[in-house]
Amino acid sequence: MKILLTGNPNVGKTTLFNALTGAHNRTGNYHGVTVGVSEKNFSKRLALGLIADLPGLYSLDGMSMEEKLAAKYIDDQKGDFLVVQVADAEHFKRSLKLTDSLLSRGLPVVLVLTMCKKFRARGGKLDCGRLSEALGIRCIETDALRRKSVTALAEALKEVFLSLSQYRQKCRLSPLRDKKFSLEASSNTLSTGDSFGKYFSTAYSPAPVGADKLTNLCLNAFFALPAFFALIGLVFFFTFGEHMPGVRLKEALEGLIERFAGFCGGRIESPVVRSLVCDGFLGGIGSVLSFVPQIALMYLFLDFLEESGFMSALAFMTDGLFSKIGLSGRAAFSVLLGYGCTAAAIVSTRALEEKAIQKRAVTCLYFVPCSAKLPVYLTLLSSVFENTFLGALLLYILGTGMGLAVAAFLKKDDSIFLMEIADICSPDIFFVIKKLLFQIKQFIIKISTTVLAFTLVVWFLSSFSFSGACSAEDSFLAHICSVLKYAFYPMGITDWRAAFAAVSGLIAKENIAGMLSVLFPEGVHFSFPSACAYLTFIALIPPCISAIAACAGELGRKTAWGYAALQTAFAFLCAYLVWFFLSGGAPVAFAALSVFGAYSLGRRLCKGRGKKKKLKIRENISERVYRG
Amino acid sequence: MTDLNELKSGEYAKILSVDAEKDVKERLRMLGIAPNEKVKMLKKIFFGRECLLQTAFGRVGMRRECAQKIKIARLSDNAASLSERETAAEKTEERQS
Repeated sequence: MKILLTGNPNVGKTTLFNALTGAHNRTGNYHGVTVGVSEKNFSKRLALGLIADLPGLYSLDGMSMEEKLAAKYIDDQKGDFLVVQVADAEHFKRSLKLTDSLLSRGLPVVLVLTMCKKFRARGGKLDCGRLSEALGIRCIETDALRRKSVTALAEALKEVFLSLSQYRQKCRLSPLRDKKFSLEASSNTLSTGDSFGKYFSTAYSPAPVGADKLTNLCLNAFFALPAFFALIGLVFFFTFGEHMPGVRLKEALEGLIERFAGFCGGRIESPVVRSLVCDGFLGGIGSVLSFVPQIALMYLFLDFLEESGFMSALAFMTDGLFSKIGLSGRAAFSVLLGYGCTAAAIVSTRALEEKAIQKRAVTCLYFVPCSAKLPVYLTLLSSVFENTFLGALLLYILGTGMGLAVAAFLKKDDSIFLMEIADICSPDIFFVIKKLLFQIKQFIIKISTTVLAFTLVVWFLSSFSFSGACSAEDSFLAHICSVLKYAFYPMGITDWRAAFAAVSGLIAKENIAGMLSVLFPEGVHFSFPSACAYLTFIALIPPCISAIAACAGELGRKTAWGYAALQTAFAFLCAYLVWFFLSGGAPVAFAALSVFGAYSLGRRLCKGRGKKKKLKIRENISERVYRG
Repeated sequence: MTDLNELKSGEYAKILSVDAEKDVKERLRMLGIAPNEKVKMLKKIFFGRECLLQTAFGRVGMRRECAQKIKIARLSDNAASLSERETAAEKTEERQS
């Protein structure tokens, strides 16, 4: 059987989809999370067929790109399928507009109500049996976080699908089609004269509006913005601060890997194999894996923001700020996602209202430092600076600031921004932890595949030449980088190994840290200006190949690679300037700027005088003509 | 005619017309902003650039430029009766008293 999951934004479609299929698609308590159509089979336990998760729809003639995509997907369906509309018990009436649209297209629709427990806890009343009678379609209450409830839903859907043609006939006779009550906005009260209220009086009663103090607090500008930045600072400190849990766990894991490398090295006789296992495999992968605790802490923070609904409040509270630089409040959470993974963040920009805003958001995201850059920063910072926390923070500010500056530079006229603010609720801790474990698993899998393959290739290229095993200076790698290294000379870096490590970041940013560990077993030792220039370069280079591919999917291959090429050139230029200023070039630059400034001012003044003179001559001529 | 942007925090209004493109109008309608609907201005932030409204269907955030396209008539508090949920809350309070 085939099921299409539809519904308004933020009603729990993807949570239900994940529960029915065992997938881990992105969820969050804000609108605009699902940005494409995901198709998957039901989980092995349920084994019922194919299910498609569509982005949120208010109607089948939606405004945003994702709504148009969902509507087209539904219209393109052929063969037998069942439409399952997921509706939030709190906003049940609003969802009936979509139900009406679906039924008017002759589609078989089952209504699944979510968040019923919370709805009843707030004083609302709901009777699915009576609702089914009133609407003439099957209405089922479900809790997507509870296995039993999901199994019961799957069984009910199977039952409906088995008699699909009869059910389709039944849907055609739905009272909703006869318009026995009004769905129009004018009937929004439950007064005695209201047809909606009368019709559903025994089946549904809304929860009274209470003072949701937490949501009101999060929508207070004096609280929300400072609280958010304070939280960010706290998480960064908790994750990267000295003697803090992030650093402690990292050190513990590093020690463990080192002991294991020593254990393996002691038992391998062949020097080549020993080098492969200890330097190549464990050295490269291990140095990146040790950052997992810190990355997990960052993901945990983002997950709490998403699942609590604070993200939608944040998007609204920051829209005024983002609109100044040509982005929207919705871009706020795309930028936040960029701190975790640039590729995921770029895909989420599909939820933005306009292509122009999406382009600007993607340009910004190219600069936002993802979690994979963190190991690189810390490896380089620890070799040059004492306070790595401050250094990491500055680099994050540099990348983010540059991204926002570029978006502002490309700004054009503003567009419509409309956002429904979700109620803030405490997230299900069990669900958040489950999501976090999945994200860490994905991160580790990425390392063990892409980075491991790359690390081993580099180990081979750096350990062998045509004459067999050799030192790194005589290897294949040295010859390749003997050409690449010239681009790094203006940074005061003449070592081909630094050049290669930087270039390897194109495959995966984690590779840079891995490469530096493999190629510099004694540690990285740059001069202060060169280290700063190199860090600037790393901070500003394009994201990894996965992110560039995501951008190509959204904006086209030409745009994606064009951005990457321009950004690489820009990164080199900035790195050269940093090295120049820190190597004593500041006075020269200052003198040059002063001369240029004086010249420009002089020209303006002369132009101004010239204009005044011409004006006076014209006045004199006019006067003479007048008198004459 | 007054537009939504001129409504102050805490004030209620009835929507008279929406002067926008068809797809934007439909999106506004789904969020509870349509002719004859009642709304309440909850707050304005960023020097009035952004406004937060309470509609029959929930809280909606929008920019000033969008609010300027929505024509309204101000309502007194008594005439508001904003949403089914607020009406239900009033009934609950009456029963309790």
